[in-house]
Amino acid sequence: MAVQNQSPKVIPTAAIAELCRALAPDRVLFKPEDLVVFEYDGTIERGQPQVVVLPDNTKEVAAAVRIARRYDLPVVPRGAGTGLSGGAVAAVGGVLIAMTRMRRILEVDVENQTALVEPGVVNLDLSKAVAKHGLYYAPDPSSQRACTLGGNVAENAGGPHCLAYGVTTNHVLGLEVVLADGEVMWLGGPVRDLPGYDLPGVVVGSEGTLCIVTKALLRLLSLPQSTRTLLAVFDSVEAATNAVSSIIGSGLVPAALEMIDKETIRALTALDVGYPADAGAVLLIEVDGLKEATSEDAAKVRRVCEQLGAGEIREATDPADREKLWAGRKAAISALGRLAPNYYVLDGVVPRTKLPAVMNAVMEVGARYGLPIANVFHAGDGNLHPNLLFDERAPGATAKVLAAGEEIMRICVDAGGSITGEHGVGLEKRDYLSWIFSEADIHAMQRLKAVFGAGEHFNPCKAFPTSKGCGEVHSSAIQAFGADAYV
Amino acid sequence: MTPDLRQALRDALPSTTQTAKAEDYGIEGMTPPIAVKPASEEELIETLAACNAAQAAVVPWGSGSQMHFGMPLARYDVALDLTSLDGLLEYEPADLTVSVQVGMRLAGLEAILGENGQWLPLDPLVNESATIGGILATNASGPGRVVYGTARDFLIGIAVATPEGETIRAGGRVVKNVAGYDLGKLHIGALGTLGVITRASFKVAPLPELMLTIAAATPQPGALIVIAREAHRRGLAVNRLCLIWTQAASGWQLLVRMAGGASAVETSRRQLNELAVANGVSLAPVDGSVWSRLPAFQPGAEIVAKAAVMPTAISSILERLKALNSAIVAYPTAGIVYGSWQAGAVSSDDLKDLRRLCVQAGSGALVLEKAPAELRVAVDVWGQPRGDFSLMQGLKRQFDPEGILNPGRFVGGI
Ligand SMILES: Cc1cc2nc3c(=O)[nH]c(=O)nc-3n(C[C@H](O)[C@H](O)[C@H](O)COP(=O)(O)OP(=O)(O)OC[C@H]3O[C@@H](n4cnc5c(N)ncnc54)[C@H](O)[C@@H]3O)c2cc1C
Repeated sequence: MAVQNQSPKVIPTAAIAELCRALAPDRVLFKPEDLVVFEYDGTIERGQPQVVVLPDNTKEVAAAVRIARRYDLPVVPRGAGTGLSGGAVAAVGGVLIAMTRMRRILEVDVENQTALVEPGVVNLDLSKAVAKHGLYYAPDPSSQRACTLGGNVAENAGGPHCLAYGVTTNHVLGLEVVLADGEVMWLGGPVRDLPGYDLPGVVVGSEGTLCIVTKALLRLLSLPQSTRTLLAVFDSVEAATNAVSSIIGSGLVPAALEMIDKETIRALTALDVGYPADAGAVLLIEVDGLKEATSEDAAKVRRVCEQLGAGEIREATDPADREKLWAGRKAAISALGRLAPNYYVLDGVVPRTKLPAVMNAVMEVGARYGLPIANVFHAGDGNLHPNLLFDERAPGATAKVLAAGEEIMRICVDAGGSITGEHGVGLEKRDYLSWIFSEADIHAMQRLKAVFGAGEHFNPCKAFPTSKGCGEVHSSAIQAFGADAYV
Repeated sequence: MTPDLRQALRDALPSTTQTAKAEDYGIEGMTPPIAVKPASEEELIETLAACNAAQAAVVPWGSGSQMHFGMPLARYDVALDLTSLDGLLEYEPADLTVSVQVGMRLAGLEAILGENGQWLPLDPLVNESATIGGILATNASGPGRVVYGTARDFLIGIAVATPEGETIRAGGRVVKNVAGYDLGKLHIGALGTLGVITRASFKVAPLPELMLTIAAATPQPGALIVIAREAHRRGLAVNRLCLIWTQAASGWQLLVRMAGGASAVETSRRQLNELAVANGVSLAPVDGSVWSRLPAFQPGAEIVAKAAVMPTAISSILERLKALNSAIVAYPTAGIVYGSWQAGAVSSDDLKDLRRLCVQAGSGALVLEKAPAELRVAVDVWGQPRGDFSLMQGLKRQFDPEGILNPGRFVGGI
């Protein structure tokens, strides 16, 4: 069910011919049947580009951008399409630049612990490639087997281990980018503290609206000497969130601190990941570092969890066991499909001490709307992901889900938090931006867009409150999804 | 500034705004006609807007300790003292976050956090009176950066007063947040050229249970660099590390501060000892006060150059600095080296050569953080702008269109 959001500009055949010349005819797609797979990302939004190009290198990206500019066509960069805010959806049509062919790891500097990569490299592939040097790339989104480093940069992606090691922005040194006029530029470089304004710092998290990233220079970390993985079982989400606050409050910052609730555990039963079926919630806790330090830390975690009512605490005894505990966490979101035909993933953040109260309020919203909610999230960071379960075929179900989602976002904001911790604003949350930012704040952000000369050339209608030309997209997109459009 | 303009500006300033003694705000022989010390953010904003309307050049002022940082000012009309804006806005220890007004001193903030067993692990070797705003604007860092990173790794939210009389905010008070562009990053190290930072929120960390400083000395730095790298690679429980060289000691010294729980510190100490023995040096505990005596940060250091290079280029930079009779403080695994001299002890040509080495061998840069004005001009504090300079100029035009904030001090004449 491909529905165009807004009557798209007809793409001149001359533009297609130019793109074919600049790239190669087999890497320019424009037949409707070829475009379908590029219509959606991990969200409920949809929009069809008129043409998809698959560049091989920076020069081809720049050429495509210049041609699009000449024909006044918007450009949408796209990685693996795992995004959860509609960022890679061609909201108003145009040229979609899929970065998936640019997936070379160009250079690994073992001594200086950096890697130069193309944006289409899959997150986990980088860590795998450098493991033989005792190194890894720290940000590990749960989608790391699929998502690209370019998409990570655009969203400032996080992951379970970002609690201790920071999110994408803490690991980006420099970026090669293509600007809206086709100019290629390096921002930042191989060392920190270069004189001048921190341009990579603002491009990270800019959701493909400022420029297209064509190379990234990333920091690598040394693999920890020892890792201990614990699973603490609680009666309720409330008890588990209290334990989260206490662990953090005890002066310990674990490497990861993830929460998985009863509903999610139910979805995982078939996978045999070893989470007790009768648990109200489990915490997956990992500490890493020196062997002696991790045994000290693991003991501390055990103590706190026991004090706060953990019925059982398991610990992974070997790497395979550890993998198994993590497999549950990493497969959790996709497993939700077993519970309901559709689910809608939210991404709010609250101060950690507010987690217990906020989780209660979230569940109250679900109860009020009659929507089951499954929670699996980065508890240590206060970054919650309530997943609203529903069946879109039921009349009015989708509208209900969106209304409940909005209430939950409100709860996060009222608790002093944010409308997105890692998935981005995209199409989905652009109208919530004004809940946390004033007009002056948003205007300042638009000035940054002006500095990059980006206008509405890159990823129009994303990340900012709905503007006139985009008014249509939201409402028609809401009617436009189909069952397969959900993650 | 003409007398008319001065009067106009005086009239436009909020009536309650406290004016300060202008003589207290001299910078290298320039005394501003007006100095103001706003008592509230509203007053600050009105003052800025009035200055903007009058096109008066404004210098935001924290403790005033880094006013030599950057190129000499092109104009200087108003000193804007921010030290009255020093409130603690929000601090919930269990959230591990804190929000302050930036006139607060770092030392004051650390005292508050310390009472709760926490700290902001930003340990720039600045004097006691340095303010949060000044530290952000200069991107000051310290020997803890090898583990904790720099200001950009802690700042989670910011509020900035603009010349046009608005407050703009970015980020927030939660540790993870991707709503809106991360504009806070632009103000770190920007030397107050894009706006006046008024509030900042940070992630903070638990204070380590135990800390222990140890030192090793050798005539050559090679072995010490190997030890530093290996400690870093193994992930030893180290939270400060630096290498120093002084003429007086006529040798190299490695300082390491271990931090963490008892067994982590003990293991790290044992492993460091083994590493030291294997590399022919010996380690011994020293008093923690050594950290406040690092040479580049002493009053005698009248010229300070900071090299930022790839860690593998460290040795060549150290060698060159030694040949230039510099005192040296280096964070080898971060690729940061400070050379310092007394005034007159190093020539502009030597510094330019050193910069060439940093750029060519180290893929990095050299910033002349402190020096007499003539030397700063002769060497150019920042060096040649890079290929992304047009975007930097664009930022300045967008956020300070009249060019009233610290004119001329920043990169490429910004
Ligand atoms: C099951 C599941 C689990 C997830 N878990 C996490 C998680 O733990 N943490 C987390 O942060 N996210 C998570 N996500 C969300 C998503 O995976 C991330 O946002 C990821 O960074 C998107 O990468 P991508 O390659 O799929 O990008 P896409 O979805 O293709 O694009 C995302 C955005 O990036 C832009 N973009 C892509 N490439 C470039 C480029 N080269 N230059 C400029 N802009 C570009 C696009 O225009 C778009 O705005 C999860 C998603 C799923 C489906």
